[in-house]
Amino acid sequence: MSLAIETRRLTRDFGDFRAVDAIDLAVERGTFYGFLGPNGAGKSTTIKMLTGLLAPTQGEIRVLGRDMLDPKQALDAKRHVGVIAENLALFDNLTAREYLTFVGRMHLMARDTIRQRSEELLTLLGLIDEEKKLALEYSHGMKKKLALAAALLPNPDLLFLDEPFEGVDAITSRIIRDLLAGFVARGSTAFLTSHVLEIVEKLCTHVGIIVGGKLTEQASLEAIRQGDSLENRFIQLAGADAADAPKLTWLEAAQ
Amino acid sequence: MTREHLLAFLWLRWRLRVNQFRKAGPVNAFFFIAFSIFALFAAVGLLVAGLLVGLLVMPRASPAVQLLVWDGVIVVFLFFWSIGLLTDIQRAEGLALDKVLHLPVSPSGAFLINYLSSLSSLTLIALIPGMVGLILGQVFAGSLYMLLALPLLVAFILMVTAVTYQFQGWLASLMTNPRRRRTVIVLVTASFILLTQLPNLLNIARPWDDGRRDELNRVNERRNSNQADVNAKQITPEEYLRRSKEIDKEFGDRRQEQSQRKWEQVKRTASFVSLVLPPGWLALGVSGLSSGSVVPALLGTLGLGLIGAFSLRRAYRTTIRLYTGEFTGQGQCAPTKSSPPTDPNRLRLAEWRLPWVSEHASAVAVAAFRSLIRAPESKMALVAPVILLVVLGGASVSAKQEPPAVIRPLMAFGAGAMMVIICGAQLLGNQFGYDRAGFRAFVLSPVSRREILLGKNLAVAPIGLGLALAMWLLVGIVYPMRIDHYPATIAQVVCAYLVFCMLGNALSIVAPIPMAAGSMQPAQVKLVPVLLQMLFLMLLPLAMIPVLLPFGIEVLLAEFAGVRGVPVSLGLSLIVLVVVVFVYRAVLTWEGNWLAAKEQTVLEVVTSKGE
Repeated sequence: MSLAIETRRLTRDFGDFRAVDAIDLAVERGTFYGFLGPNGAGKSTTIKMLTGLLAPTQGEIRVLGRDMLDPKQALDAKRHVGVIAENLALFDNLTAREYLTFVGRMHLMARDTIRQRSEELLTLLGLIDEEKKLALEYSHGMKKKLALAAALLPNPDLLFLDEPFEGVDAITSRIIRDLLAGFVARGSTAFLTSHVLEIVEKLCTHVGIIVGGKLTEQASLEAIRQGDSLENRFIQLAGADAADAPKLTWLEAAQ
Repeated sequence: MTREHLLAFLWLRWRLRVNQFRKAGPVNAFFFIAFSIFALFAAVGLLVAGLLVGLLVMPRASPAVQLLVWDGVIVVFLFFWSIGLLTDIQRAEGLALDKVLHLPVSPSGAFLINYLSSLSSLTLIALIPGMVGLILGQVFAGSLYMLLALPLLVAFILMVTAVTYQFQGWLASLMTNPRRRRTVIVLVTASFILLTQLPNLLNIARPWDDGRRDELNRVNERRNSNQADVNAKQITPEEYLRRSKEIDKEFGDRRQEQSQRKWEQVKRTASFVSLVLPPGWLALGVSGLSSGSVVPALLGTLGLGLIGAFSLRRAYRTTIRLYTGEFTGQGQCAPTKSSPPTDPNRLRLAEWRLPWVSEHASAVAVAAFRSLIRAPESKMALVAPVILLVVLGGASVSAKQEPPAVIRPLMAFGAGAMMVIICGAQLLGNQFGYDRAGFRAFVLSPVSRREILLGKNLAVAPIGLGLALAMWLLVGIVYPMRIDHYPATIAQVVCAYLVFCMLGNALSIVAPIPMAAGSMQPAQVKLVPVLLQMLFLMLLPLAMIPVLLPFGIEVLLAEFAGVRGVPVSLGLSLIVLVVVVFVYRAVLTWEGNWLAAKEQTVLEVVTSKGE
């Protein structure tokens, strides 16, 4: 099976701090890949490098078979990729429909297709009644929905989703989960980071765990779980155990 | 409210200020420290100067002069106070009470402490000692009544600070709505620019110069006529001298009479204004004390104190309403009801396809233009040209002089180019700084970076080039030119815009500055980008030299070869325009590749601090 995402010794330094340390990712096409890690582990830095938002200090990146460090190949790869970036990529002063029109035109989509898909996406994600508002007036959850709509609009082959469920209500969360499940079922690939392990457990077929910038585990969900829950396995693999955490005796003491 | 609460609040305010300057960078911190030291020196200097003037000069001044001096002091104080206030409003909020009211501290206590800690402003530190010195100087000179001016001054400060505090609270309640917040910031910035231009506008209007220039012109006409008579030997030299003395005497008498009349008028106006406007009660009170009347001072103290107390009470109520969630910004946004069905055939602005450019460049241009016309920063960028229009227009009207025909095309070009520079310096010289998170969309897009730059340049054109052409038209109407100079100067203005775009693109790539959302203030000031921006503005006139060559060649041909009436400038300007368009296309490709290589660095700068 060919790889949708492949990295070799991908590294990123910020001054003396090594945020991502020589990771070798291998995400097969048609899989739903959950990229997990504690806060500050390097998940968002990795996803930024994979999508071309951040230059790696060293290493190689191939997305859909294209070398992302080659500007021409990177542009070609971006034609087939949708992204929800960590801090989103919205223009404050555009409405949802204007933003989707802009994104569609950047992908050289026909006007009627943009209109039709925008209408459907805005309706599905519950933004159709808010379309006159500017992005700056949106709540965080609404911004996430708009970013998801923009990522899906060009019907990409690969989706990068950095915390897509953060701030999104339960109903929309369900809609998005179904939508993403269908997206992968048709043979496309999704690369997801999330702190909600239940969602990862429900959606993902493969999981990678990054701790302190190093990729500690990468396998199918079943192989990672080894019969246990993902939460327990994640805590074990992340090197922390709730039982070892120091206690706040003053908080537990009777009043 | 306990002492611990008070200390915690003071510490919080201090910490917020320190962190704000740390975030703004070392340059900002340096200027702030230098400015603070200057303010402290100014405070000591003004205290000493006030004491000396109060001791040596004021005791000899009439009550009317005292009134005018204090009115002047109040105007200066309010001018600087307003500038400080507007700067504060444009800045991110220092300490919003709703962030602390969930803590175990009473709202009234928090409000009072916040108000008291807001008094540590540079204007108060620098100017109040001068006012105190002026009062104490008169007290030391023997006027014990003047001691009553001290509580009057305290009441005045209470009134000004309390009304300001109430105003800030009202603005804060308005700004709970994000859209309205941006409008408020635009209006505040416009007020700031207008206020700083006030002395300039007054100098242009010169209300004190009423009729003096006409009078002088009439006298000069009589003098010239007298001189012509003596030159033509129609009158004897003795008669000439007699008439000259007569003219001078009449002029002198009239001037004296006018001055007297004006002085009386000024006194009446000052008394009336001081009576009607509460800040003037300080001047009225001090003036009364200098003539031995204590009633105005006592009434002024009472009145100013009551206004201060009332304003504080209103501000407190606004704070409580904010606290209780009466102003949430919800429900004040754009209507959320379903929009009427849109005509499927109607072409929306975001869908416009511009002629002669690619789909990508069109998409970027219309999206960026749509964003620009809604963004407060572009509205603020438009304020400066409007002010410029008023100032230059006023200056030209008051000058009453006709410029020579030869320089009129230069004036028309200069006016247009200046508009391009003023509008574009911010919007073109730091294009990605205003995109903030939006720049990520460009980086993620599968589009040649050349097309992004072209789209960006096209987006600013209706604003920068549009205003430039409006200014060009205005100058062309006020100072008519030869008919061929109109298209020639248009071509030159368009060339200037293209040159400006090339330089602006380069500057946006090499020296991006992160901008705080909804403002024209950098989120972080770094020395190198700021220096590069300054260098860019300094070198800009040099880049304009090729654009002005046609005009220069036409002038030289007319002066040295006698070639007049031939549209040399028009022909050459069109050639230069064609050349500049070709150069622009080539440079744009090169700049696009440059942006592709640097876009991640630019993204890091514009998003890391600007979000």
